[in-house]
Amino acid sequence: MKRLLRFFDRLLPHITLILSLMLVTFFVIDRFNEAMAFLNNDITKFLVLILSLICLVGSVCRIVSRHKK
Amino acid sequence: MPARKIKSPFRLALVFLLDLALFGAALVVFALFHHVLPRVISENYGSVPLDAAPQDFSFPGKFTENGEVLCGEDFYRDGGIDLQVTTVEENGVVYHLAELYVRNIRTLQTAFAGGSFGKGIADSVLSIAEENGAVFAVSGDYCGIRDRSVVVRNGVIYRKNKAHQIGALYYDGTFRTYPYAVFQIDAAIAGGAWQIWDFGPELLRDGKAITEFDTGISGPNPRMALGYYEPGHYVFVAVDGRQEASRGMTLVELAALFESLGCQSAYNLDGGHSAVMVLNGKIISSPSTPGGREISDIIYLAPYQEDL
Repeated sequence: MKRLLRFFDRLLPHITLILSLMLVTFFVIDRFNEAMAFLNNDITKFLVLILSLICLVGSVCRIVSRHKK
Repeated sequence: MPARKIKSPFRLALVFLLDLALFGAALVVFALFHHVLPRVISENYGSVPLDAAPQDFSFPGKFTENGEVLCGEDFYRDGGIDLQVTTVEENGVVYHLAELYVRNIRTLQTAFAGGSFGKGIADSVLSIAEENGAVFAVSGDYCGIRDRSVVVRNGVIYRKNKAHQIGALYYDGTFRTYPYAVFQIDAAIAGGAWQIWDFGPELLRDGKAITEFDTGISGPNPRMALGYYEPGHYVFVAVDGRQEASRGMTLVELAALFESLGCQSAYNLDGGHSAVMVLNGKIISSPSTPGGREISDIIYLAPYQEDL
């Protein structure tokens, strides 16, 4: 269990980084070409959900770990 | 407490590089599902209730007698269509005005790439025009790229959730544009919508040019737009752009052009690389990429038949 938690602890920042970069890219492209709907589509909405959940989990873990220290 | 191991900067850079590579791969996968893989959309909303025989519009001297077909490099005439294309060059912009009169609204049709409405299904304007036997065609609103937009084509309702300002061509030949908040799909269907485009923005209000646009596409660009004079009398404008000979038009300039043409209403369609105008099997505009971008839909004129 501990190994699994450590694995997630190492993986989550990378997923956060990749998803954030994707959303920033979509935001920039959307400024130039709204019609392509890079932000307003089902896949991006799902990515936003994933990013939010990961941030939520990451933040809770970080707060707990700081509290323990 | 054990001393923390300090990783070399090289290893750290490698980790970031790997993240960047994964980011690139994720973008490719996204693009694949967002707009590359074809997916037919089969929501079935039925058809707009329309009379079998639409109203005949009368424009004396405009149509040929006995269904004779006359066509040239810049015109097409038959028993129910009169189309004249004029190319204008002014202030570093080249644009093509296609003024058209139709006897019957059913000659003004739309078609999808591959004959199906869906995402990722795209073809060139010229190919779609050829497949449908069009004498004249222009790029539409590229509805197949979006998850949301109202799509009513040739009286068939494909999608009902609005996304932008709306342009609606009715079976009685009138063409109206609507701000997003005002448009009601059920009212448009009840009013006999023949075609509905969801792109915009609208360019005129009560025949006067709109001078402020809240959109990211308002700068100089290649354009495609539809103007309305009266039932059966319309004008399509294709603006060349992103090239040395023509910089393209801003939305403000485009709106001013339609006001100067004396249109009652006008509506911006998908421009940029999509903007293509085809007449008699040839591209007559100058798209910003050779042949124009492959898109999902076109607006076209089918040769007039009395039993349309």
